[in-house]
Parts: sequence; structure tokens; C-alpha cells
Amino acid sequence: MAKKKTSKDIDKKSRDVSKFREDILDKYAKGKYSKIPADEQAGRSLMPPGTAKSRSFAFVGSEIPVFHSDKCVACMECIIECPDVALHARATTAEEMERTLDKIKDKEVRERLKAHFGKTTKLWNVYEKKGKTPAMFSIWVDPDKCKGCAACVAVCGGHEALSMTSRDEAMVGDYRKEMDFLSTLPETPKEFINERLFVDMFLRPDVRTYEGGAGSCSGCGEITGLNMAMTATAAKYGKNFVIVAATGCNSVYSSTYPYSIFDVPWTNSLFENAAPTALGVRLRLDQTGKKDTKVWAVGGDGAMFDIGFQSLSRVLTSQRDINILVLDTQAYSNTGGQTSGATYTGQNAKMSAHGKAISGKMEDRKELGLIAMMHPDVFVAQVSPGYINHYLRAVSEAIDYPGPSVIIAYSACMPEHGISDDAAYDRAKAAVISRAFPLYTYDPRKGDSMKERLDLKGNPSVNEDWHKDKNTGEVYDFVWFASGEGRFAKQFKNGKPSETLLQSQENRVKNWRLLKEFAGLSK
Amino acid sequence: MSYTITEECTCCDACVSECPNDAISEGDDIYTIDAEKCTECVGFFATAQCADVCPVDCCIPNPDHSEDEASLVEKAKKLHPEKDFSGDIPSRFSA
Repeated sequence: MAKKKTSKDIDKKSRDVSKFREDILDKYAKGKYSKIPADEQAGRSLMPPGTAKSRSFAFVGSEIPVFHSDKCVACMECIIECPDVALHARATTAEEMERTLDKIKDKEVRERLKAHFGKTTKLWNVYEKKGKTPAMFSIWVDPDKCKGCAACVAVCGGHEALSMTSRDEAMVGDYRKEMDFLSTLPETPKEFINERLFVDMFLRPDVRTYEGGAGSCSGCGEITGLNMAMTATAAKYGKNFVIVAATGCNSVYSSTYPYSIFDVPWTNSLFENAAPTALGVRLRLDQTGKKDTKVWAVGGDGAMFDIGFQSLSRVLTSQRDINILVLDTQAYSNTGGQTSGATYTGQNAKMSAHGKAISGKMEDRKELGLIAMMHPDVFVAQVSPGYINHYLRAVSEAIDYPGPSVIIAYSACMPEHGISDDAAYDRAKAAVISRAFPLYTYDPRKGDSMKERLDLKGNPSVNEDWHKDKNTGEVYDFVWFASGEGRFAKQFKNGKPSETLLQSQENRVKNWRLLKEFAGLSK
Repeated sequence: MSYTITEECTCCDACVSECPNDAISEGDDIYTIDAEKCTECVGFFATAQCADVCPVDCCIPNPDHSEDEASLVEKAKKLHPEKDFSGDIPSRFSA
């Protein structure tokens, strides 16, 4: 009689990625779905981690970025903002670069590869001046991960070190060869990773928990924020953390069978219970002596502002070490853009569609951050991927905080905001500049009063209602923000803002003044 | 003199937390130093901390905003009325 399988055997098999690749992934990639045997792991809702690494999006986009090494300053922003982790950066000594290039026999190919390496002030001039061995800096594009959104080009901006070119099969082939070459190039040595620079954590090989292959939309601003939070966690605690996902875009693009994107334990229960599931995981980890393992609960504004609000509140009173990441797109993005508590006044969203009866959402946005602050000793931050350092700093502080923390991250959503695929970074910046989404951190460790705890650092012109352009005098108010997004398009007639939009602007400035009052900055 | 940040700035953020005067913030394109708040670290350190930490050497003395050591000490005292500046005052001019 065959030995009966125990749950232990099945657990062991669920972690066997090579077997999974052979049985399932390869057949999926070839479209041979009907040949796949019933997967007993799927029956138990189990998938091995990080299987999306092998997923190819090579022919999703019509364009692909080209890197111009002579113009790059090694700021790392393109690497961080790429929603698909398709861009890879390396710092390499000239000697090591030559040694690796020498293995390439084809002269033309060698020259093309060599053109990727450039001398930057950061890694060459400054190192040389200090008498240290300098490094060449290079950036590489993975054609199987890149969806052609051009976010990297937009982020690079005036540096012009990246541009888009049309993509064809030959080019994808060349780019794949470049990725093969990259795999022979040593990882960035420690001496070229500046520990005082948050952005440099993205040069570390040991912090990559997501390596592309998510089913997110081209240019998605949300997954960039998710990746930033996970990378900042790994930079401090290695891969010693787990993720509990609320149902929503984040659970769909990160775990649609057979592709899981994370290299750490990940689970999804329901829309409304990510925070209490995380509490349960936390309690079990504590019970089994794994107090150092960090726990993230991740959900959108629908899950955290609305449907899971009560259960989130319960967890915030638990005093347990749990981190909540709210990916705030100001709508139920996954189900097609229904109004949520986070939606702005005047926003055209389903359930509050702009028409004869109402002109978009007529209620004001709920401020989950302010509500979270009123729970006993909870760390709260509002962050935006447009402000990389503020984001990474806030997450670093949140994960070190011994009690519950809530990070509310602005998340640009192409379809629901009505913006272009390359706009996530610019819009994430504009949301902060216009007071639509002010940055703050609220850290109970700083003192007992609101003004000691609440820090508005990072917002431009903190003492003013609105930020203005120093040269042109242009006022960056909420109407300015709204004019750049399709979700507010119906609020403009002949370029003039509607009454509803002006009301929305009034609501935003009231929120900003309230934050200033709490932070002790009111005049 | 105050320090200033040149356009080589990569917005890496390293200088912000080093500044004893809270004078550095993220500007529209690059980081900026508020000349009214910068004491060139006089009163706190023997070297300008932003210049020390900058990975691209773009924090430099501002040629358009010249102040001598004595006025920088006065500035530090004004900015930090709670701090005791008696005894040896750290300064990049005496280093």
C-alpha cells in the first residue's frame, strides 16, 4: 500500500520551485494549459514563492528604454520607480568591467555592452578625489520584465540618460543577451553602496524581494510603493518578514496563479480582514519565539479606509508589532473604480459618477491617518513615491517602531486617475505639492504632545497655504493638481474650475491647516 | 557665507539629517539651503556637515552670500537661543 501523504510532504513540495516550474510554469508559458495536471498545491491555495521571476512581458509594450551612460548621475531614481523592477544598476571597478567584458569574443557585442558603463561624479570623480578605487556605473533593462511604460524616462527627466525606442524581436533578443552578460557581472561591492543614502539600498542584492513579473498595469504607481516598502524592510531585517494581503489590486497582480511575485511568505484571506489576519500571524510568531519576524498587512483604500476599517481599528489598539501599508488610489481600483472614503470631492468615480444629479463625489475625503493617530500610540505616516527619501525613511522608522504602524502611500492609478502610463512619479509629486496628499510622520516616540509627534517635513512651503513657483509665481493649488488628471476633467468648463472643484480645494486646504495646527506650525 | 547646493545634486537626501540648523530642504528640482539658517556649521562642527556627507561634492560655500566667522556665530546664537555657546566654539575657520 502506498504511503499516505502527510501535510508535511505537501508543504515540502509546495516550496519546490523547480518542480513547479517543470510541471506548471513551463506549460503556462507555452500556452499548454490543458496539459497541466491537477495541482494539489493549488487545491490547498499554496504556491511556491517568487515564481513570477520567470514570467515574460517581452511583447506587452511597443517601446523599450535605451540607456545613455554618459548622461547618468547614478541617482537611482529610475531603478526605484520602475514598477516592474526591469531596470538593474551595478557599480563595477574598471578592472572588473574589463575582466568581464574580455569574456565576450564578438567585438561589436563587446562595444555595445561597454557603452552601458559610465563615469559618474558620485562613483568615479568623488572616489578618485578621495584616493579610493572608483567604480563605473551601469544600468540594464530586462526586456522580459519591462512593459514599456516609460516611467523611467519621465523620472530621469532633464538628465536624459534614458529614452524610449520601438521594440522588435531582434531588439528583445539583444536585450536578453545583455541580461545574460549582467548575470556574469559581479554584484555591486559594499564599498560602492553608501549606507547614508537611502536610495543606495537598491544596489544591494540581498534586499530584492520582488523581481518583476507582476500582473500590474503598465506604469502602475502602486506596486512601486509596495516594492519600496518591502525593500526598506529587507534592508533592515533581511527577508525575515511576512506579508498579509487584503484582496484588491495588490493581491491580484502579486498572486494570480501560477505567478507569485514575492520571495517572502505571503497570504491573502479576504477583502476586509488583512489587519486581523496579520494580528493572528503576529501572535503565533510571538508564541513560537519569532519576535524578530516583521509582519506587514497590505491593502488598498477600499480595504483599509472602508470595508476593513473596523477590524483595522481593532488591530491598532493591539499594541503589537504590526505594520499596515495602505496603497491609496482614492478608489476601488481593482473592481473598476468605485468611490471610496479616500476619494476626493469632485472626483468622477463609479457610484458617484458625474452627471445631472451630482458632479462627482460630493462628500469630503476621509483622513485615515488622522483617525489612526487617535488610537493609543500608533506610528502613522503619509508618504508618496514621488518623495523617495521621505518614503524610505518613514518605512524604516515604522518597522522599527515596536507597536502598530500605519503607512498611507499615495498610489497613482492610470485607469482610475485618467493619467498616462509614464505619469506615476510626476503625479505622486503633484499630489504632495498641491496639498491633495500632504506628507507627514507621526511618531509617538518623539514626545507626548501632537506637535512633538507630528512632522510635516518634506512638504514644500510649509508655512503657506499653497506652494508657488519662485520664478513664475504660478500657484500649485488643488485646482492645478486636478487639471492634470482625467478624473477631474468634467470639473472644468472653458478652462474654469467648477463650484464643486473649488469646494474640493477648500476641503484640501482645511485639511492642510489642520495638520499645521497639530504640528504646531499655525501662525 | 552660507553654503549652497549646485545643480549636480542628485536629491539623495543625505545632507538633510546632518544639518544642525535644519536649513536644508527638497526644492522643486534639487535640494536647497536656506541662507538665513545656514551657519556653515559654525557653533556645532569644525567642518560643514552637508559637504562632508554629499556623495557628489555639490555643497559648496555660496559666493553670493558672504559672512565672516563672527557674524556666523551671532547667527547661530540667534537661531538657537536655548544653546550655550560659551567656551570654544567649533568652526571650520579655526580647524
